[in-house]
Amino acid sequence: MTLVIKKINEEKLRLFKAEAVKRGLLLHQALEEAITLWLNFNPTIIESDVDVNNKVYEKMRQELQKKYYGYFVLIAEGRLIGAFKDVKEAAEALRKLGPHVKHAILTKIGFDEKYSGEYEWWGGSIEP
Amino acid sequence: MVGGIYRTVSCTKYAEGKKYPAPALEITLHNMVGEKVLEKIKFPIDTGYEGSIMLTSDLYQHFLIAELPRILWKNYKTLTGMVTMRIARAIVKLSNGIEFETFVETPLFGTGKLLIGRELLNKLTIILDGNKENTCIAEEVA
Repeated sequence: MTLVIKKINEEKLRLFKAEAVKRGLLLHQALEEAITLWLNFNPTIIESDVDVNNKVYEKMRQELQKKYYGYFVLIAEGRLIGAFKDVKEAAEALRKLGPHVKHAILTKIGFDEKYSGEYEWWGGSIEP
Repeated sequence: MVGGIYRTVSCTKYAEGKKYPAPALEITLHNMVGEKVLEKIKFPIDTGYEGSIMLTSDLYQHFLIAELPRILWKNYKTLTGMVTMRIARAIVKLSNGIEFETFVETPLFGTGKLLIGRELLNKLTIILDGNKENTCIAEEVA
C-alpha cells in the first residue's frame, strides 16, 4: 500500500533514511522494522515492572550477596518474594504469585554473575 | 589418539537456509512457571554465537517471568558493534528427551532470531551429517 504522511519532522526523516541506507534497507523495510519495535515496546505494562524489580535488586544487591549466597532469589511486584535453595521451589513460588505477574527477577546469587560481561558473536547481526 | 565410535540418539533435518541448508536442532521450550512456549521447533545452530538460546523479542516476552537482573545482561561483540542481550531462565527439552534448565536471550534493541549457541552445544555430542542434512545428538559407544 502507499502511505502519505504530513507534518513529519524533516530532520528526523533525513536521519531515518540515512540509517536505512546504512543498514541496506529500503525505506518501507526500515519503517516496518521501526513499527514492529514500537509495537513490541510496551512501557506501561512491561517496562515499569522491569524497572521496579531491578531497582529492588540493585538496592538489595549487597545484602542478598551476604545473606543468600547460592540461593535462588525471587523478586516480583517490587519486593523480595523469597530465597530458595532449589530452583523448583522458586518456580513454585513464582506460580503461586498468579498470572497477573508479567515480570520477575529470578537469579542465583553468586552464580549468575559469571554469565554477565562480554561475549562474542562472530558475524552476528540483528535482522528485521 | 584420533577416533571414537558414536551412536546417534536422535536426528533433526537441517533447516532451510538462503542458499544452503543449516544445521539445526529441534527443541521444546518451557518458561519457569511450566508454560510450554515452543514445541518441537527447529533452531539453527550457530557455533559463532557464544550464548545458549536466542529468541525473537516476541517469544522472549513469555520468559520475562524469570529474568536475570539488568546488570547481569550480556554484551556481545559482533561485526556491527556491541549488542546487549536480555537474559532469562527457561527449561529446554531436546529431541533425545533430555530436559534441563538453560538461559534464553533476546537483543535489547532489534527483533532477534532463533539460534542455538555454544553454551548449549557444548553440553552435547553433536554429529553434523552434511550429506544427509541431519544434525544428530549422539553418545559415545564405550
